Amino acid sequence: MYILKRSVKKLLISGLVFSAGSAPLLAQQADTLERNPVVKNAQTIQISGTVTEASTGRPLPGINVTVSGFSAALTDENGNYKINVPHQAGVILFSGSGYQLKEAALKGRTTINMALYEDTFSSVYDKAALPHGTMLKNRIPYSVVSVSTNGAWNRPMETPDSYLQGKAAGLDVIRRSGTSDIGADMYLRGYNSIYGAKQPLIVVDGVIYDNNSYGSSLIAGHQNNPLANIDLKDIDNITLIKDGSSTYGTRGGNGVLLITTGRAKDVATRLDFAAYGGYNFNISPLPVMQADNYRIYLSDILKTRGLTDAQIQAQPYMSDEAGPDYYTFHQNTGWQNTVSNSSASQNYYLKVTGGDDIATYALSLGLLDDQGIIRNTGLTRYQTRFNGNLNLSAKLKANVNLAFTRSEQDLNHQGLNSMLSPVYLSLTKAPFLSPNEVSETGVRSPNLSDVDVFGISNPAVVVSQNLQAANSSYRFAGSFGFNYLLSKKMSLNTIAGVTFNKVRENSFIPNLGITSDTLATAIGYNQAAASVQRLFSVYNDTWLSYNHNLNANNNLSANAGVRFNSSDAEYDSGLSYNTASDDFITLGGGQSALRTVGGSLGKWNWLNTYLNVNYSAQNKYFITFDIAADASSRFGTEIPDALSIGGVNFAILPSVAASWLVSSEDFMADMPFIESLKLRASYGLAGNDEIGNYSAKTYYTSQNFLGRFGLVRGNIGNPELKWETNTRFNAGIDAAFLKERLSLSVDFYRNQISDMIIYEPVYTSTGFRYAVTNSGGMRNTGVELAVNGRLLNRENLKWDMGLVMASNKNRITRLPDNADLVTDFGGAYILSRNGEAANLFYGYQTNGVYASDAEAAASGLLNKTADGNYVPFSGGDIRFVDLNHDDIIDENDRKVIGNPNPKLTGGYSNRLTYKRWGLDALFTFSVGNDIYNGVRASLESMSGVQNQTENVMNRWRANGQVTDVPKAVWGDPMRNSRFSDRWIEDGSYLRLRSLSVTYNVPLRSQFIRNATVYALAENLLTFSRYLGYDPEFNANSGVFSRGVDIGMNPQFKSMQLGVRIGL
Amino acid sequence: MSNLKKRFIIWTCLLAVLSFASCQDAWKEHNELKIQALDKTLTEQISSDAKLSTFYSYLVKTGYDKVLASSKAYTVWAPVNDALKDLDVSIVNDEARLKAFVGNHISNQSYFTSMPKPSLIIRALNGKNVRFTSSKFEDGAIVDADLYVKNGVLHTVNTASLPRPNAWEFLQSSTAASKQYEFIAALERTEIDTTNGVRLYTDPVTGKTVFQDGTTFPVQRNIYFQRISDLSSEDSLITCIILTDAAFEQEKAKLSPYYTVDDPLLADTLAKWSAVRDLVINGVFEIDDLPDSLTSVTGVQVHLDKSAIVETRLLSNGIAYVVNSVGYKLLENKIPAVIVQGEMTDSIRAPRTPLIKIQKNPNGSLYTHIQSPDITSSPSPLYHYRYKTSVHSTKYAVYWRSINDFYSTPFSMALSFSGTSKYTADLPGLGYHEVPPYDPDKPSTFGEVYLGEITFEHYGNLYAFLASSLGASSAAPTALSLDYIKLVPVN
Repeated sequence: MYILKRSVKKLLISGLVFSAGSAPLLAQQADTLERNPVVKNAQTIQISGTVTEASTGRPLPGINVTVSGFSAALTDENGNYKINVPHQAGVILFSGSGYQLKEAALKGRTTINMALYEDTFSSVYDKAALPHGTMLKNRIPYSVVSVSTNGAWNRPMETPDSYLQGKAAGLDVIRRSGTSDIGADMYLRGYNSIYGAKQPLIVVDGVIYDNNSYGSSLIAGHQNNPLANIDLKDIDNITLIKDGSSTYGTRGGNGVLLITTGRAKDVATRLDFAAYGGYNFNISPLPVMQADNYRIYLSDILKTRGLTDAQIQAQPYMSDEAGPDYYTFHQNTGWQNTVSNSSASQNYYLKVTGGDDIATYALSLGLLDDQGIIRNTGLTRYQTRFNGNLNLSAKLKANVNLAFTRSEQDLNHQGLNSMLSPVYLSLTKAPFLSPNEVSETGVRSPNLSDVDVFGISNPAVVVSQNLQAANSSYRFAGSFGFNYLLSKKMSLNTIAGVTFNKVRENSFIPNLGITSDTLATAIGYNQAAASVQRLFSVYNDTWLSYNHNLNANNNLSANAGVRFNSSDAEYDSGLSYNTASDDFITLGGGQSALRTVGGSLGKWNWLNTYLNVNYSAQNKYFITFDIAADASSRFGTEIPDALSIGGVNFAILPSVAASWLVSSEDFMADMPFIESLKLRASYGLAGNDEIGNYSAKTYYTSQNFLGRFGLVRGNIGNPELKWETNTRFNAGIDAAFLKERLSLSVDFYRNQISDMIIYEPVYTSTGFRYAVTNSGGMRNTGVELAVNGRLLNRENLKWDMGLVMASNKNRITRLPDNADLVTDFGGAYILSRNGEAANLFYGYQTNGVYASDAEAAASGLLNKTADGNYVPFSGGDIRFVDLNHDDIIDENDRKVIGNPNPKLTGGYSNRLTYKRWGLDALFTFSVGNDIYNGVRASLESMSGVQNQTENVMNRWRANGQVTDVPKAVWGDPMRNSRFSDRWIEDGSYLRLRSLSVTYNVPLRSQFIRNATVYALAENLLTFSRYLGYDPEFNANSGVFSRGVDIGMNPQFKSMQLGVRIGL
Repeated sequence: MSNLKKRFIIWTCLLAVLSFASCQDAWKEHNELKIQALDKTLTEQISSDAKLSTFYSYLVKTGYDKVLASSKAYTVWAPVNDALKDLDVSIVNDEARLKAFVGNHISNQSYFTSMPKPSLIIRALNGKNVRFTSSKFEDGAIVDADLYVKNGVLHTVNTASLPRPNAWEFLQSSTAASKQYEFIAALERTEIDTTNGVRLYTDPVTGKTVFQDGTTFPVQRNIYFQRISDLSSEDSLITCIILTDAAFEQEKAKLSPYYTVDDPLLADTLAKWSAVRDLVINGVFEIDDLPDSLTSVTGVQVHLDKSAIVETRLLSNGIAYVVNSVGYKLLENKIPAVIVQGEMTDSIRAPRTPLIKIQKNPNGSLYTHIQSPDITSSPSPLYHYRYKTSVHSTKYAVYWRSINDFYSTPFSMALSFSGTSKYTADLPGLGYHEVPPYDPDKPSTFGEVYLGEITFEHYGNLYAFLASSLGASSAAPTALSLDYIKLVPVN
């Protein structure tokens, strides 16, 4: 251990030298809980009482009893204490190792008995990490949620974003897909922007964590998730600030997620090792037709294509005669099991903490390997983190955080992509074909089959080693912080961080087995591509802290500082076609005439000056005032009514929050039923600066014209372009009853977004489709509830139950000219209309199927076809409802047919501990959200040779047949499968999101401190009526993709067994 | 408290069971077959219907039961037991004939009664075409229509339909038209099919290609089937006119003057060929909607008088009319006008390569013609264009169209004919005619010009010679120019 410490110090010193050259060095934040030294005061009240353990009633010896800045005591062996308090309005703080921290107001009493819960208990007195230090939750005047991960040892396969699902009321977390490490999109209180950033600002150990990916992936449907680079087991605490985030100015509009990584808790050397092995369960296949019914369907659909009987019978797959191709076309392949399989996962993690009086460190190493359920995909992630704290002198403290992560991932294409997506191909591929070539005698060759007789790719090739879809990324995030105590009341802090992120993707699409691409000048038989995303970002936050006790019960603290963030992103990609053979898979092997290169550059700076003032009176009235003035390279130069200093426009965003701890009032002393009751209200502004790096400027882009390059205007620059402003009002109650056995938190909020960015349609004559303007407005109103209860509280048996839920209502309040915006995404049409939610499904209403030609003729309706003709309906067509009664079914007959936004989301958790056993069950739910089932729309459109669900066996065939499935017609000329309520489904679900059983092994060894065995499961049960693999997916974080199922890799069940050993 | 725990566990289990059930149910409900018959194959459906038991027994006997259980779409017009009562026992006992009979009631693909508008001709599994209307199948009425099952559709019919003959089979069996049959049958000959032949070498003596043994084989082919229409083919539908023996003789007599050749046997064959050549019409024309004139596959307009029809017969590949006379316009239609395009020369004798020009008429239409201007000498024999064509043995009126757009004065050309390719100045013909200079305002300078009449004694090849005028010099050059020559039979 000595050697280790030495090397740690060496590292620190070299780090110091490095950062001295790169960034200004100042000081670091103070822990506001450890306040000024004890001062004697003559007029005191003596308080006495007993501290007991809440579950057993046993007296607790050795508990710290303190009055901040005044006096301190320890409980004796009977749990009794005596302490002097300066004033009636004082509070006493109880704390002890292994127990919760708790505050008690005197309320005129002189005897205060206290029952303490264990430290993992979720309490109103929990610490929450705030931008300038930690604070007890009962003293925070705005809405925050603090999630103590407790190591999250029982959720090894989660990323920090997906872990938060069902944990925080109002944070709607949707996992993107079933790809490993893909993470989740987080929306705090709904969508606060349409085209700007929608996810909370993430701050890790004081440094803004850039969670965006720069440049689109070469692999369809994939996006890189930078947050996956933080191992959840490295995280101590995640605090979500819902509305007190004006201090982050134009980047706090979506709330702020503060992540604190683990540090050494004491100087003793501790070693934690965990190992997990897991099993991912294959998804259960969707009921698509088998070979027999598929071929009958094919007979019908080919007939409508205009083929004669003889031509149909001449197709090789229609012949039942023995011949060389008989076995090639007489298989019955379950394609879904060809592309997906059950697989294994493993995770190893080692963490060492320790140190001495001068320096403490925490070092962790991790390895994650997850094979995923799509064949030949998988992730390997290596991760290291080093966190150190140094007491350089009595006044100077320093800390350092270094993290390096490397991921290598084999991916697959996703989406309704008929060429490359294994999920889509496996559903639609003809079941009578085989993944491998089959001989005349029916013997299966190891060679994979080529593109089939219909020109459709072989799903087995898409998941084979022949197709490359690799992503390898690394991220380095390092920061240094200093904290210098200028005086007793004032300290100077700084933190400087550097982030370097690089994502490299390599893709190769072989010729064999994959449909060729038709390019402008050639056929692309195979394709090689590579891309690199690069981000380099520098961050500094320097501030002055002031903390002053006006008297024994009134405290004023303030922070004033400057944050600066400079980022430089680059994306380069290259694409070439037709390498010499499928063995030449690199970019250079392609045909030079077909090679294209592309990319983008982004460079932006952000400056944020802020002032934060907190005042607490009598330990029961709290008020906080924040103001930020932001400048950004993204803002326009001619913003009307903006503060301008030296030609630079500033966004001024103030906020104020106040709370009243009612339970600390004397009159509440008679109500022991109420442990804590706090009323809060806050009002303030925050902003959103994700308006595009260069949208305010006019720029040119290169364009190829007949082989020559030139420059063309790239946009309509808007020099008046400014940030989006989010005006937030929040009122809430935090309360705890029955000695904290029951606690709840309720919030009401109203967030009004003004100057919202809109891609405003412009006249075609401008040469552009849209201009970026601040011409929108939106409002989110909602209510959030969090309830925690300890239902059973025995020494050996404890049962905690928690429920968080939130309901949000989104309304557009302003659109340019009040015109409806209709956006097309994945086959769905999304309506944004003033006064309605921003993303409503806008399609046709249907009412069954015409049972006969006579019935269709009687309706008198004409259908406007894709080429603009008017064609009457006939038997077997869908009965579309003529909403405007003009006897024509066209785009004017669309209406709102669904709302993808849930009415209620949340989580329901249970934790049961019995002796050494523990059971954790987390349910998540989403209620009242609609889904456009694009996969089913494609699997029941009956327009081509693609395989369909068994439902199409009910297709209309003859006059008089009453069914709800239309007839099968090649190409679907009547567009019976158009975007309509046929494909809108209820996406509500309740899911047993995670279930864990833990057992603490009793140990006699001196060597091993503790050992725990885990049995874990994820996504074990899902209750849903959704006709798809899974109702949870998110194609991208955009507003318009919500609830549009385009066939992402589905979520799957997994189980792990693990062991954790502490030395 | 432990009660609470128990309850919790019970509720959890209950919920879990419910959920598993509900997950499955959603799809099950969605995919459930709304009509139970959709779960049955045609074989199962037919076997379960007592009214169709005889037909089902035939299906089993012929092996079609397995076909109808397979995963393709079929349509079955199943005769009820009553309809099969009187079926000839010889059919039932002859496996091949029974198979052809049963196969006549089954087709690939689903055909519903809503589809014939008004009727459909469908290829049955026995290779024959059958007729299906919204209420009838062949001659039987549909009793129960449009019963759709998993792999197709079942109609029940009250009459069994024997496979119909095709045109050739009918012609063979027709006693009234034996002469037509005999003539067409006599056109059959043996050919060597070399399509898949492996070439070895070309024999230097005979100049013929020698193929590897076994790669070529002799086939029977009928010139009538190859050149006019394959009466035995079930692939296309035809209307076939069959002449009674009397009519056949009458036609032959009427046509033989136009086929005068030295060989009387050849003359006889030519006349017979001409008599039967224009008797096949593509498509089916039922007797009630016979148009006034039908265009035969050879392009000749023929007229069928209903009173002349002796017998009408529906065929598997169309319809046949046995007639005792057939109407057509003899001249210009049966014996067509002959047009010789100027640019389609057979041989050229001219001082220079002639010009072939595409030009515009005053009315804007395009024409192509050939010209040799600036002929400054007149050798003997003369400069000429030679054309090869074929004529009937009859009298023709002769026209030409020639454009003189290079001289301001007229020039002359002579047109003469010969059975051989050699040109001499004394060949019979129409003598010299002038071509006036082109003037767009005078149609006579660019129109068709009547040259006279000429009678050809023999049917067959004919050479036409367009010769330049005599006495040309550099001072008075002559020329050749021709758009076309037209020979119109006038008799």
